[in-house]
Amino acid sequence: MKKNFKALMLCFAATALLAACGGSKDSGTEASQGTNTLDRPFVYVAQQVVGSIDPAKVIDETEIIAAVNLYDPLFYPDTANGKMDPVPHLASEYEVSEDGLVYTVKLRDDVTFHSGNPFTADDVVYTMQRMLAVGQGNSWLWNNVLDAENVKKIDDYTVEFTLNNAYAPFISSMTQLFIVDSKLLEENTTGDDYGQAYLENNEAGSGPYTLAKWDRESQIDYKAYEDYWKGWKDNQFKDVQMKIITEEATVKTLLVSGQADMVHQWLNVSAYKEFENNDKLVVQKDPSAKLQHIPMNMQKAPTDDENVRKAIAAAFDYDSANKDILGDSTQAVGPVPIVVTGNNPDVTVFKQDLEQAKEYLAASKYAGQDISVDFMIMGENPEQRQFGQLVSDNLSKIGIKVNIVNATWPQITEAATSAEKTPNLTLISDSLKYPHVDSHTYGIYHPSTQGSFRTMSWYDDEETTNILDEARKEIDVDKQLELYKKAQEIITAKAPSIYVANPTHNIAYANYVDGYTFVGLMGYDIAFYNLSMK
Amino acid sequence: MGRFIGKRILGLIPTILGLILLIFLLSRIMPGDSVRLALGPEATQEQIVAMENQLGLHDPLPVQFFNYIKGLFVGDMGLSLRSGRNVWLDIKDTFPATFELSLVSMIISVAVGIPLGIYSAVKNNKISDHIIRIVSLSGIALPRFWLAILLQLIFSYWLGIFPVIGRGNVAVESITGLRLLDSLLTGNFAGFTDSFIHILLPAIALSIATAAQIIRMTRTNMIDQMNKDYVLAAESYGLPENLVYQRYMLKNAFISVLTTVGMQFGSLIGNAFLVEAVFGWPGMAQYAIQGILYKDYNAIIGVTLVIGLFFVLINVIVDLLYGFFDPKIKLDA
Repeated sequence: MKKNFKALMLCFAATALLAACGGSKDSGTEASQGTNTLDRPFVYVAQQVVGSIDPAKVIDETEIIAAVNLYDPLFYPDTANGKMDPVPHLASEYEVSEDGLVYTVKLRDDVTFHSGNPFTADDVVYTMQRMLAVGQGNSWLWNNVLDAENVKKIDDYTVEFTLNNAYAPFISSMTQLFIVDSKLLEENTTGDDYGQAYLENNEAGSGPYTLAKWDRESQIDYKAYEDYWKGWKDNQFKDVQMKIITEEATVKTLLVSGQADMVHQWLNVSAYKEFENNDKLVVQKDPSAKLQHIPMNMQKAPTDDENVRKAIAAAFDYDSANKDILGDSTQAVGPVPIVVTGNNPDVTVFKQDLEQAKEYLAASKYAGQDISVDFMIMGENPEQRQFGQLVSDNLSKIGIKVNIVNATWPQITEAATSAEKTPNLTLISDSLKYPHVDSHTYGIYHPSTQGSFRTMSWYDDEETTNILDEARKEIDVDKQLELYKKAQEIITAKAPSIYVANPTHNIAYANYVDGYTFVGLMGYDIAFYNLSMK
Repeated sequence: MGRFIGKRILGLIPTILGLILLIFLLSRIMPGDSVRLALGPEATQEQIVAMENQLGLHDPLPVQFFNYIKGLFVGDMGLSLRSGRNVWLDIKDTFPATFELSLVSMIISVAVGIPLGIYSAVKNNKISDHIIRIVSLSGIALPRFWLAILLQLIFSYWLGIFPVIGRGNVAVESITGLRLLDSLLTGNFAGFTDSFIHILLPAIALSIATAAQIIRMTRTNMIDQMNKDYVLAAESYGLPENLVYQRYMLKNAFISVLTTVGMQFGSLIGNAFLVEAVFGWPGMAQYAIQGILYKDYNAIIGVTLVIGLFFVLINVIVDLLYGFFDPKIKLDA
């Protein structure tokens, strides 16, 4: 028996030795600072599995990151100047007709796809037709705005888009149209699938990187496209791995141990605070283009009464929410994030004032009655539970009882489909969908958009609707922005939401990484081409 | 034997059909609109209806169920809303990693659990027995994901002798999808060492609770056997201690240990999910979690079906092994 026990111990010792010898090779993948680049691939850790890399289907952050790195859009956020406003990318210039219906876009003539095929107007026409035919991903941006037959090739390097109706954010929306190699996809089309089966495992882009390997659920490897039209510098990262890790402790270990170079924005605030104390790491903080708010259902009692909504908005403790729960976030100024061009700084902004809240309540049609509201949160999220406690506590001070409704994300989206199912209050985080003020005005408060988590206040006001319609038709940018600002004034005066915060966007990376720019448009800050070795 | 196996396989059919039916119905009554989730919040009603039609979600439930069963016969497990592929392809890509992790964990559990269980029984009520019992009880009580994080912190971060995440960096030609086996089959020893080092820590984290169960079960059964007359007789005849323990007592004690091993092996696949998340192991965990979060009907049914099938198969194998360890158990009975 003793012999067996010794044999077992010996076996363990041998294993540990083997691990120690072999393991040192693996854990020794430190960055070789002082050289042009790393002696291993650049490692970015993301938190969400990539479902699809087909640019007609991408919708989640990690999917858009894949598209941004594998493909090129016609227009790109102005990252060079730290702005999200679109600037020509595969496009070289564009013109808009006076009625705002016809966009004529000139294209670059020096771009090739990874297959070697040259980029031409045919690819743009095919991409848009494919996007509308597949009907997934961001195709909603052009639904009812553009018909496939109205995208026309004028010559090899000119395309004309004729819209059904004027659509102010059209050029901004082009940041979400990633151009595919039409020749390659036509060669790999099965039936009328527009190459969907092919793009399940392959790419057809002209972007800075090619797809080297994709282990679904865990990792994407990118390799530099040597003939990229913008060229390459010695200190850029030519091999990149995007690893998907959901466990926060693992993400932290990877970054701190030097086995990752950059980690995603979704860790708990405390994790970034830990990173700040590490002199080998950089934590970059920016106000995000995200709205954290609590929409109040305007079609359900008691939040159908404007004074009740105002009372709730005035009772809410914004400082606690921003400092204690979200950690150094900025209070939102209306629905449009403050970093977005067109945000109106002069809208109605509530501060916690319990006396004023009581006055609003006394002026409501429910004055003197027992008032209770349902507040839906994602109960499995600790931050959201804190919001639940905060709102309960705040509203109890003005005599409103709060029933916390714990829900999963599918349950919230289900509840959002009708005003009857939507609770009085719901905690929502809403990212900018395209780099335009229209995203958080028209997209949330125009009645045509109702039925999603974005529109859980069920706002429906004729004056606002008319202004938003008019704004979309206006081609003069200054006049257009004035209209959007006017809409924000009217909206906030009716208190359809508790506008809590534009949460701080945190990202952490190794101190030898240069070139990171946050512009607020989902996925575009993780453009590996922009990064380099210091 | 052949008749027994045939009977067991026939008996599996209603079990598996029942499992599919149950999961199928549960996935349909789960709250939340999966198509809307898959298409994004801005999807128009036309887009949603088009995709629902593509998935056959407008058909009556019995028709949907029949179509699903029909599809299974040709390897069609339905379309995943997340990946846009046949669920079978997704599972084929991810299951080998989970299976390999569970298999190595079970090997570790048995290799550690049985010797320590015997040792503990032999040293009954001595200090070493008490230590093993306390450690094994802790092993059962401690959550696997916590142990996983702890092991990662100690061995990967502080000591730096194991990689933090992944299945291996050295390319291995895929034959079975099991990297350890494939690297051996192709004579790729660098690949084998690399894969072994990567799998060891997650496998240990996963195996601790199972090993602890096996230790306790082996110890209890061995102590039980020690009091039997045949052991006294064998010792009276002067047979060597090790021979009595290993050839006679262990074989008799092993029947109930085998049951534990069988049940634990099945549950290792399920428990692997948490460990996979910590070690970034590219198994079915991420796929299943995303499937549940996004209410990806077919992915949920597919993963559950695979785990259920695994459980059932392991039980059949355990039944067959009963006959080997104890010929008194008639397989045909």
